[in-house]
Amino acid sequence: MTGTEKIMKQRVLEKKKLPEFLDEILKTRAVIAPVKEEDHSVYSPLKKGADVCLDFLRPMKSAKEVFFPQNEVMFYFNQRTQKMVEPPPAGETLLFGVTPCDLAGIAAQDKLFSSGEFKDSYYLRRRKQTIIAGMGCPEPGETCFCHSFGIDRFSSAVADLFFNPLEDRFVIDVNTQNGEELVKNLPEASEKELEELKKLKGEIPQFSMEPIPLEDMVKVVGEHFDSPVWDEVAMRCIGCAACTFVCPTCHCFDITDETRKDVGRRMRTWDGCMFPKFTLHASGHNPRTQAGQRMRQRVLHKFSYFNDNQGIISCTGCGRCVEVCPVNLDIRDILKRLSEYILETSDK
Amino acid sequence: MSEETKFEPKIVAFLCNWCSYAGADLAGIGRYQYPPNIRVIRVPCSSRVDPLYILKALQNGADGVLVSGCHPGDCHYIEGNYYARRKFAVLKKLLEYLGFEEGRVQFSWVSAAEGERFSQVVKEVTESVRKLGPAKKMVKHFDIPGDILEELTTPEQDDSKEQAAKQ
Amino acid sequence: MKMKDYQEEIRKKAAELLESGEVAMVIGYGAGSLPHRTMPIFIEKPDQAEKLVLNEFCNNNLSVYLSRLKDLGKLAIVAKPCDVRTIVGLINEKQIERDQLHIISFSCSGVKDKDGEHLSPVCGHCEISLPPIYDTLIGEEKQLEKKGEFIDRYAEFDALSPQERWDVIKGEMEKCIRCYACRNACPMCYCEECFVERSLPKWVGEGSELTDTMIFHIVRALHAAGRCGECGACERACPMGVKLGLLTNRINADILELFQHKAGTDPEKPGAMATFELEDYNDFIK
Repeated sequence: MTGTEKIMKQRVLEKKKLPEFLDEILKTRAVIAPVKEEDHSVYSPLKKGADVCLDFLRPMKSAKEVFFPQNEVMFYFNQRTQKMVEPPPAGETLLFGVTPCDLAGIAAQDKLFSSGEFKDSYYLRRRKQTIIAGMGCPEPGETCFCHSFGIDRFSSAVADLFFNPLEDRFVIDVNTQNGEELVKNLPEASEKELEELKKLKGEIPQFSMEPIPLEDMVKVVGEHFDSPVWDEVAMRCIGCAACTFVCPTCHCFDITDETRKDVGRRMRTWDGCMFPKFTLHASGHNPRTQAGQRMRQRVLHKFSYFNDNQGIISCTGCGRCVEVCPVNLDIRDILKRLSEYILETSDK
Repeated sequence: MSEETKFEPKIVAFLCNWCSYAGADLAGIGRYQYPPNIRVIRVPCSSRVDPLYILKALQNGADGVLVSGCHPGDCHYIEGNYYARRKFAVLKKLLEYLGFEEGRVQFSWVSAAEGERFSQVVKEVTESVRKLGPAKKMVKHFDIPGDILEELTTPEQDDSKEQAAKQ
Repeated sequence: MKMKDYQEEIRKKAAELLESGEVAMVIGYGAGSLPHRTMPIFIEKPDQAEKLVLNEFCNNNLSVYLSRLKDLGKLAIVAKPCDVRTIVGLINEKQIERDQLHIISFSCSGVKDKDGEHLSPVCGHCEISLPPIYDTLIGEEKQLEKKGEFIDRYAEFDALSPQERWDVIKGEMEKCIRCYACRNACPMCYCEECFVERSLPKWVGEGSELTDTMIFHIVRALHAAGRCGECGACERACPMGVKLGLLTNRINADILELFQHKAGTDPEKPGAMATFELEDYNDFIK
């Protein structure tokens, strides 16, 4: 169900009543929401409603780890008897306060993990048990470029509920029946409140840059596989996975078995294509030893191949990678440089 | 008879082949009794022991770790134990700084001729680790839910006796 | 002379070195794409020297690029005094030759955090503002005070009980996402295969389980013992703000106390763990 039609009435919650609202929900399901951690926030299980922290633009890590955790036990096993047992399900959850960029990330991962013939049962199991409540984003940050992807900062088809922040209250879009269950006791939004929301949506956002014109670039960037521009833009990359792990759409993983005598567990853990050893073959050959090769792979995967395969660009313009990169690699500058290069070479 | 079960610590002992391991062997020959809590890993030299192995032992459930080598000046490889001495000093200070209990990781110099002394060292180490109690800080748990663990390890699954009977 | 004044001198020197052909490349800092950031840049032509900057946001330790670029020929590198300590370490460990380098350094009054206000934690505790070796020194050969407020967390940490210290460390380690930015930003971590990459035997589990993460950080800090130049690159690279300085600075303080050695001050002198004295500290051994 996409739920873009407003078939259910919008509701209102005063900001000061948010902890109470979450405490009530905690009685029947787990709640994961942004929680303060020193000078930033992260999506974390709430012990009590008052722990929620919406002071920061967006949590440091994306919401993908709710459905695609960094450490996932696939199953436990006894390697001698070959018996395998799946872990118990995570349980009903409310994922609250998800930013529009992270919702777009969930949309991309939904496509990846559940499209086609093979569906990822681990992702889907968690996905089905979670109600998603998005949070509107009136003020973009320094590194934000979600406007390059047409992302709506005030509504989302992926979310069951969407909280738009007015001065002292939230106006809540209710997209699904599951969402309605959680807010059915809240007052309906008044005409005045809906007017205020309309005004908020109409304000011109202060992005730090123009949207990146991606459409044309995405169509042709794959043709420049052998260009020296990749080495040029990636020269300073140190090959860590800071960008990969904070990204809402990145999804590479590794699978390892950990055992203690006979009993063990098969783990799925995050991996990153920027690690120099990511493509190391058992033979010893490594097709991507250079940072330029890995950067090319990353950009082409996110902006070309994924788009070809899934119909969505695997980037939401959240800007986290730009913030965390130790050497200030900036995907916005890289895309700009690529566009310039494509123009330069097409003139010839 | 006391009904209490005394806590029996598991101690991993890295012993250098030329001195400490030989000393342990001599303890055996001389019938010097020492507690059976140590599990010996023979290494060519005390300097072969990377702090990684010590931490790994703790991670896998060791309650204590002993590293023993030749006396300074007597190393079979001439200088190995001098380097080891510096390495272990830094390791021990760091672990204590981070909050590990003092005495979880211990070091000794025991020569090939010191059979009785080896048994003495092991007695001391075992008792001091026993007092510290089971190690908790660094142990990796698989956190397998109880019912699943039971399902995976129930004796009905164990057909090894049947297999043995068939032979 | 302020950090900003050095900028012109560095540009001049870089252009000179490239013009004369003395060096094949200058590794320096360029303007960042964000406020309070700079980025590593690699200049090969004299007219590109205009891109070089020097200011209080020159955080990166550029010597991490030396081993991958040394085949290009002689390299010039812009290095803070702490960065030069790691260069000395690399020379000492034969990762690069002294005569293949032209070190451009300066008297340093500290660099700032990304917040633009506080001194970087490592700078706050640093009392050295001159490099141990150099080829070109910008500014006066004078000891400068570190300018700016910094948050002193070592005194606070030292005062805690062992269990409390453990709880703090555990909290820090739980933040770690095992991206290895710290390891990759460290110039002394140049192993072809890191111990965490070994799979037979698998020393460290994948993913971010707490004890595996602790082993990674403790063992990495110990592998760098006696070699760590205290440049702070590891902590600054960390996207989650893990206070790695608590480990590295402690080890360096212990090594200074026990062995009277500070890494990176003398290219001829071996690292503290690569040498010994007959009368080293022995009391802790039975």
